Amino acid sequence: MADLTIDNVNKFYDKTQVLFDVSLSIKDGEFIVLVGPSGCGKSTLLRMIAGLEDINSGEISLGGKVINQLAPRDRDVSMVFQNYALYPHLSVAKNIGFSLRMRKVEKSIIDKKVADAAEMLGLTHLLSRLPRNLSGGERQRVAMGRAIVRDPEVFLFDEPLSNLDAKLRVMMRNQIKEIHYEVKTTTVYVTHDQIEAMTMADKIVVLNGGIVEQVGSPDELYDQPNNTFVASFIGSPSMNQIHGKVVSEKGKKYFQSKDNSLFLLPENANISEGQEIIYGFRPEHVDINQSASEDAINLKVKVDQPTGSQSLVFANVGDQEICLDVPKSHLLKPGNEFKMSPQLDNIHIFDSETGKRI
Amino acid sequence: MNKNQGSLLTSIYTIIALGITMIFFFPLWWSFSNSLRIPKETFTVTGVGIPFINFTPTLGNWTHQLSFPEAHIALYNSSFIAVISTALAIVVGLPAAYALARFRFRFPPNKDITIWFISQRVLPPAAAVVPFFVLWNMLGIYDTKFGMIIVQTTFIMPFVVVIVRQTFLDLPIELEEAAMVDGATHIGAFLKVAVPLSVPAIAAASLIMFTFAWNDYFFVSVLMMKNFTLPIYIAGGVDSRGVQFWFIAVRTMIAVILPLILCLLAQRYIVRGLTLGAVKG
Ligand SMILES: Nc1ncnc2c1ncn2[C@@H]1O[C@H](COP(=O)(O)OP(=O)(O)OP(=O)(O)O)[C@@H](O)[C@H]1O
Ligand SMILES: [Mg+2]
Repeated sequence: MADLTIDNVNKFYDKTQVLFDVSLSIKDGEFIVLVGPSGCGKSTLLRMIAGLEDINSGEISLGGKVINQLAPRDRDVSMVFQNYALYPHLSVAKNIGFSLRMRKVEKSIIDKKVADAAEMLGLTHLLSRLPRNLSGGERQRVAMGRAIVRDPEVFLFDEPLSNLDAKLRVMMRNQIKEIHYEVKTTTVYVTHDQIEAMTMADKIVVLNGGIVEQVGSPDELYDQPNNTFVASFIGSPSMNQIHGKVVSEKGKKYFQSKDNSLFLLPENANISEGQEIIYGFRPEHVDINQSASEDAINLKVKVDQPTGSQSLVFANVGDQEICLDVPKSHLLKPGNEFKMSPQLDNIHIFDSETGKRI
Repeated sequence: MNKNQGSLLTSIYTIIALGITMIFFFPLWWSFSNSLRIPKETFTVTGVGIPFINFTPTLGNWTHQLSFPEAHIALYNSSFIAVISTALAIVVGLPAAYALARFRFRFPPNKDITIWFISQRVLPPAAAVVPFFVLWNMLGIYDTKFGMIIVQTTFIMPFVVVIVRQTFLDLPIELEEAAMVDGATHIGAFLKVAVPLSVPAIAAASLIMFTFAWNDYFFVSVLMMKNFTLPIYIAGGVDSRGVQFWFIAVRTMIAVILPLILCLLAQRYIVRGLTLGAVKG
């Protein structure tokens, strides 16, 4: 019903272009996360959907109707701003009910809806307070309340959790998902935190320098990144990417890094001998010591960072540092040697010039 | 610097500031004191003229002055012109301030428009008064309160434009954007969000504007005749018998009282921190 379509949208600030031919189609009820590094144009795109920025070319349509020229108030979207933007002169109740008052909703209905939203977000005891007397987390929830009180066609969230402490952030992540599960409103959620993207999204849009790098489910992005940017942006710690070329030995194809270490390549890989490639594998997709394959290479531990039951082990392949996420072991202490082989099923190969997946 | 030195310095500054204040306020004090003396005591009282100590006060000058119809006319005209001009300047000036803060004009650019507003204050009034005189005569609004209100509004409006423009610039624009997404028109966002949050600045600007319009002597002296205001009335205390200090003193005190009351009333609005809590952090 309220499919949101973004078609070849471009955006300029004066002469600088910040969005390049962005196209997306978002189905009714979907939870989309826009993710990308700071300054890549996430907020700009969100603000264009809200009607707060002009669209230089291209079309944005909601429910099949082009909304390029509509004023923000006529678009039936609601937005949580990066800095919350609570009305400082109005109480929490007035803040949450603002949009309903603007739409001339009857007083008794406003009161009921505000009470419901406050209940949902645990704000009931704060309704008469002013924003300045709230904690950061409470302000964040008021901002949420202001958005959900109205049941609009689309929710727009601009990094709503970026200022909360880690624990609160996890809690709010769940709450937002719960709310979405309950109201099933189409949602566009902006974040620069890939973990937030992975945990919340139905579909992730990776934006980089104003260009859509890849659109897909969290699993697709994790398992099959389109290019080296997505590969290093999605997943934590980042995917290891080693530069080198393809060589053949004993009838098998190997990847040879700059320091002549050899890594076995999958047989079906569409690459030819001598080709320059980037060899990628995630820190968690490696086997070490006894479980390592016969093609394993020898490495020396530089640093280890225990994370509980696992440990992040850093080592060098030539002059390139790699990171491995492996079960904690007393053998993996700085200076110790160990054997390591990336899991053959989880190897990513990219063209070394274009960075595109092969 | 340790804490004791700090508070010592503060005390010294306070004493110096107090001294300077007393020098500046002496004429006002002298007027107050004089308004309570009988005429022949004007120059004979010793000390700094403290009532009951240096002389026996009387309300004679006050009752005499307040019984004059001229005093009522002057007070009424002054109040009417100053209040209406200030209100008008706010009604016209606030949207101007907002537009300068939020929209980008090309020809002329925002900076030039702002400077033009300020230049109205820098311009010597004498340069403008002759054209006004001619024009007001042609339009038939010479010596009318209406004409005077237009003149005063013109010359005080730069205050509200410049002061409140800065306040609007300092407001997070997301507040108005949030209002617009929430269903307000741009004008609605201006009236419901930007203006309420600028009340302290608007109060401060109003006070300054009111005082300027209230105190103006020059334009009234040229552009009005039978309709006069308090400053003219004060100056009218000079006649063939010389300066009637005792009456001038009363009139001065009357002229000071209203702005003083307004100042005290406005004080509670001129508080900082109204926008606290708008954004995270
Ligand atoms: N009003 C503006 N005028 C000129 N340039 C702007 C304006 N707003 C944003 N930009 C530029 O557009 C680019 C994208 O900005 P945007 O705010 O969309 O980034 P973002 O992805 O939301 O970043 P962040 O994660 O830091 O919030 C940036 O390079 C920024 O400098
Ligand atoms: Mg942003």
